[in-house]
Amino acid sequence: MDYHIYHLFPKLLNAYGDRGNIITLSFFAKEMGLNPIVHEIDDISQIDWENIDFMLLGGGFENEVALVVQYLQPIKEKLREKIIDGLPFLVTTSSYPVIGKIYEDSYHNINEGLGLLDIQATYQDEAMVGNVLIENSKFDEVIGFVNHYHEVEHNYETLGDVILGFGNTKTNKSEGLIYNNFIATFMSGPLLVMNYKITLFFLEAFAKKNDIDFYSINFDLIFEKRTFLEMSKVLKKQIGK
Amino acid sequence: MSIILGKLSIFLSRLMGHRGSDVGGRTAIKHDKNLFKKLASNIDTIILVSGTNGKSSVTNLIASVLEQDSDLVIANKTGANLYTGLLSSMIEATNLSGNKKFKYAVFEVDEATLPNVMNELDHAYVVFTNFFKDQLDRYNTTDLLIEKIKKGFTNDNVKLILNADDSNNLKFEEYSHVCYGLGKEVTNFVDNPLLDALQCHKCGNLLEYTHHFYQHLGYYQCQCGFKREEPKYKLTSLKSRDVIINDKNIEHNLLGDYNAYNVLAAYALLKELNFTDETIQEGFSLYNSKDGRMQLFNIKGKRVYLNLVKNTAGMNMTLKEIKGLNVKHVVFILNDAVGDGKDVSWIWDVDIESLNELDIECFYVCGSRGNDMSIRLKNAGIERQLIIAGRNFTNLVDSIIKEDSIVLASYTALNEAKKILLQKEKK
Repeated sequence: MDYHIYHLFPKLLNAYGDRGNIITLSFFAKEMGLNPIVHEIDDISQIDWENIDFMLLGGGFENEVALVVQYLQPIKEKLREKIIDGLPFLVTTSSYPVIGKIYEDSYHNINEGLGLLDIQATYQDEAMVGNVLIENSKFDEVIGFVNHYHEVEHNYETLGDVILGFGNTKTNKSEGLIYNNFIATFMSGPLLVMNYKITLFFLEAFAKKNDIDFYSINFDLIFEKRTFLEMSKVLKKQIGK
Repeated sequence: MSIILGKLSIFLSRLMGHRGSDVGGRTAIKHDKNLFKKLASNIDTIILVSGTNGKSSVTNLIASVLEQDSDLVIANKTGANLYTGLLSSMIEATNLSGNKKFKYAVFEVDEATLPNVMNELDHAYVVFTNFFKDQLDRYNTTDLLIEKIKKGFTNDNVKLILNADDSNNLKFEEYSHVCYGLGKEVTNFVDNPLLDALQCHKCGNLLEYTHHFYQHLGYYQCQCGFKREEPKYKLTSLKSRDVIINDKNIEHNLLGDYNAYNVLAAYALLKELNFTDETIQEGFSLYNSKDGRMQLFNIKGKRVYLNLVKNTAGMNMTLKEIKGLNVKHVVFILNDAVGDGKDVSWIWDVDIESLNELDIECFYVCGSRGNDMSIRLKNAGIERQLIIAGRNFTNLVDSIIKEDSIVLASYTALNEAKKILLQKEKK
């Protein structure tokens, strides 16, 4: 069975290694017996709306993100419909702040965003950089690295409680956003590389939609588990756990 | 007084087994904030080398030639490239009163430190190698970095040696400069499919390429008219340790095709200082890399290469060299200390998949983020059984050196790996 992975504007949004999310998802899809087909989209006319199984909007520098936001304007309604419909969709790092109706940039100008969900994004002048460890998550623990100046506020479910590092705002101790099968986060890692449970989450959604018995699949997670556990240990040590 | 304290702290630091390459500056500056300016004013010609990759090689190549001409040369050959590192070099070289005169100084300078250094100088030649994405948590974007650097330049205080093939270098075109670049004849760099898309800094549109070397280096142009400047120093032939620049044949000892740029940059600077080709050739022939830049160890009849790899561009270039080296083991030591960059997501922008085409028996990974590297290899298609993860290099080295191998070490892992391999070599 084909598994259509859409990577939006990878040449422009390539600041945080998001390519790793695609490579990892493809690898897991193959392990599941699927045939992953990666569509690198440099132009919105390349999108086949009937055959999207996963979509990634990665992070880039400010000018590049602004360009992509412009390029996506004509299809933002379609994207929003897909998200409400349950399309597995990941938005990372510097693209997280632009998913709302408007967002503030580094010049403190208010720009038009993608209007995918209802969030507020403000820019403030001190960078939020460092590793992040989250607990009480749908995914038990989540680990990533953040590097941004934006603060995001919203009323959706988050990825969990921040135990180490920065959350959605300087004071807010939760990070990210999850709605249906849509996840947005400031974290790189890349996210799906460090957090195999989130990779499995996206693939499970596909499996459900396509009547595949997900629980009978044996994923070899030795490398992933070892990497995650060791990183979790190191980070917990930093906060004296 | 501050010089004496500086020299003393360098001596004590070395006594304790450290390199003492930065401490002199750090100590002295507490006592005399004007010391840098004072010492620099005693140097006739100051050359700074900056950029993402290649600073150390270019600095050492230049130093090697300057030393043919004069004994009065200061160079920070060990790579302490922050403000205090440069100051340390000057303190170590000068006399107790600090008024010794020097003919030349050549310093590799960390990009973020460059403006602070320029503040203390009346004039400098500045050689730029390239600007790649590197350590985003320290440097933020390349554009911001370049803006910061420009704040230290005026029309009179700088003569730039620019890489014409790097559009980021041309952001400095408004200052007095000459360019170096590769000719279209140089086809050895295999097309890297992971081209970064760069925007024209004049109009914001995406740059188009008529010819492409690697990463974002090549022949670029924009619909607004901005384009690559024809270089004064052109390299038209690239063979192993042998290049042709402006029709002159130049030999050197550096392994790796990407060193063509480093040799070219050094050559361009030295010609601008009116050195003859003969003197340049003499200096280049004497320089052998001993600082973890494709450094070769001979251990019980096996070749072990050690190379510093700090970012995507550097790792891609090193991987391209591996085929020609005929090694059986490939080793990654990946740390995430402050000097390495805490975010290791950049390894996913590296063309690790290309390793599938080679006949490598074993891949070793270690370092604080060695595990991330193991996943990178696995997901690139390398068989799980061929990937061996270890706590640290010491634990793995005996297995590694059983075959010809190459070690790719991140910044903070380099010196220890070098020490360990030197010990093994001596036995």
